[in-house]
Amino acid sequence: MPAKDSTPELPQGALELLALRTLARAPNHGYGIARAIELASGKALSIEEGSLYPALYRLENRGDLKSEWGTTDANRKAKFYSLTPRGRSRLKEQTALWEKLSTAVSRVLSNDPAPERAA
Amino acid sequence: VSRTLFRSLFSFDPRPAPEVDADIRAELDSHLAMIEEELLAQGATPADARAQALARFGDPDRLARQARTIKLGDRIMLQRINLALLIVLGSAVIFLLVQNQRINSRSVQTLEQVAANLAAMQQRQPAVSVSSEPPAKVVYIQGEVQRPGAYALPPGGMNLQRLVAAAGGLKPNARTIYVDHDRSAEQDKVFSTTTPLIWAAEPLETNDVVNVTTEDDRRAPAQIHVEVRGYVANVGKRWTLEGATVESVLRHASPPQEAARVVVERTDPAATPIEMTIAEDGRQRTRNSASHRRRDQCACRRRFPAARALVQLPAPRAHR
Repeated sequence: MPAKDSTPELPQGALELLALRTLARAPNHGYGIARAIELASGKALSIEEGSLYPALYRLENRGDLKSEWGTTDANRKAKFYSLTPRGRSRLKEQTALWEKLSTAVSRVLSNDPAPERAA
Repeated sequence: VSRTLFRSLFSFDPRPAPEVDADIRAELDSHLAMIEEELLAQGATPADARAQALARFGDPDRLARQARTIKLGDRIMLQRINLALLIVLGSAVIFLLVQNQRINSRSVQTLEQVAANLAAMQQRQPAVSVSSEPPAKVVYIQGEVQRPGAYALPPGGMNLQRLVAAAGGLKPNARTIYVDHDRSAEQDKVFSTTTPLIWAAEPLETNDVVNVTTEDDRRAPAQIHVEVRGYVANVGKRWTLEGATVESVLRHASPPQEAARVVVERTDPAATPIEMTIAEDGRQRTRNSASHRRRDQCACRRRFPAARALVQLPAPRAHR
């Protein structure tokens, strides 16, 4: 998955998490998910849009998403994804995990030891 | 419920593979089209829009392949498991079949054993042993040969030479061969071993008995050596049978077509020479003593087989 020079490369699993988060608001198609992520990240995250699909398919296989062909506002055929209850609980779980991970990584990077260990 | 259970066990798209492929393609194309639309709305040329859309989206072919593996990956795995199961089952069936075959052949062997034992038991009881086979066609040879015994008579028959050869040949001291033909009207044949050209061709039939002895039998004409000199076309030594007439010897030597005188010198120096004349008509006439008849034989003994016939033309006629 080649990343563009100006944008950071997403860690594995992050794309899935972002897709889940986006779909938690409303069902959407691939293009819509890509736009939403782009907007929500303040254009800081620009993914290779095609790479969204392997993530979506994996989530669908796991039963976190379900899909259905529909028509967009512009009257174009597109496949719409929506969260399943299972996907919703996974979103919660993964979000917590991500926050924990990013805090830990940030701490290590700022060289700020954990308070309990300092004491 | 069953669908979710199925999903949790095997997470793959249950639709046929071509349908799944088409679905993936349609979805990727739809996304690409939406990007192009966006770019066109921003004022890009159609060609630019296409190129930029591909750059943003990535290679659709590569993505389609990737998507396919994700959607059908488990199914491919399942198919492999199916194949493996099939192979295992197949080998098990083959193994069982082979095993069964072995047992069958073993029981067949056992049956054959039993049959053989029964046959052996029957043969041990003389009352039951009836040979349905016709007696073998054989001829017998005994006496002065290397390997006396019974010899099978081949379908085409055989002559005495072949039998003797089969028996390893005559021993050096063999003198006389008696052939006892097992045919009603046939009398025994007697041959001297010195006349191989004669006895070799003697035909043999079933149950004939050949006996070779070391004794001389006067009934068997021996081979003798004669020499013809003088006024004949074919001078020289030749073999003939004991008891042959001077006339027959001279005939083979091509005597002159006119009257001539013949002197038969015996090898035994003590024996009286025989004198005779050949008439113009080819007949011979014995001129000397009354003790020699016209058909006087060249009666050489076997020990003194050689004789010389000197054919002379009468003096006056020779110069005619």
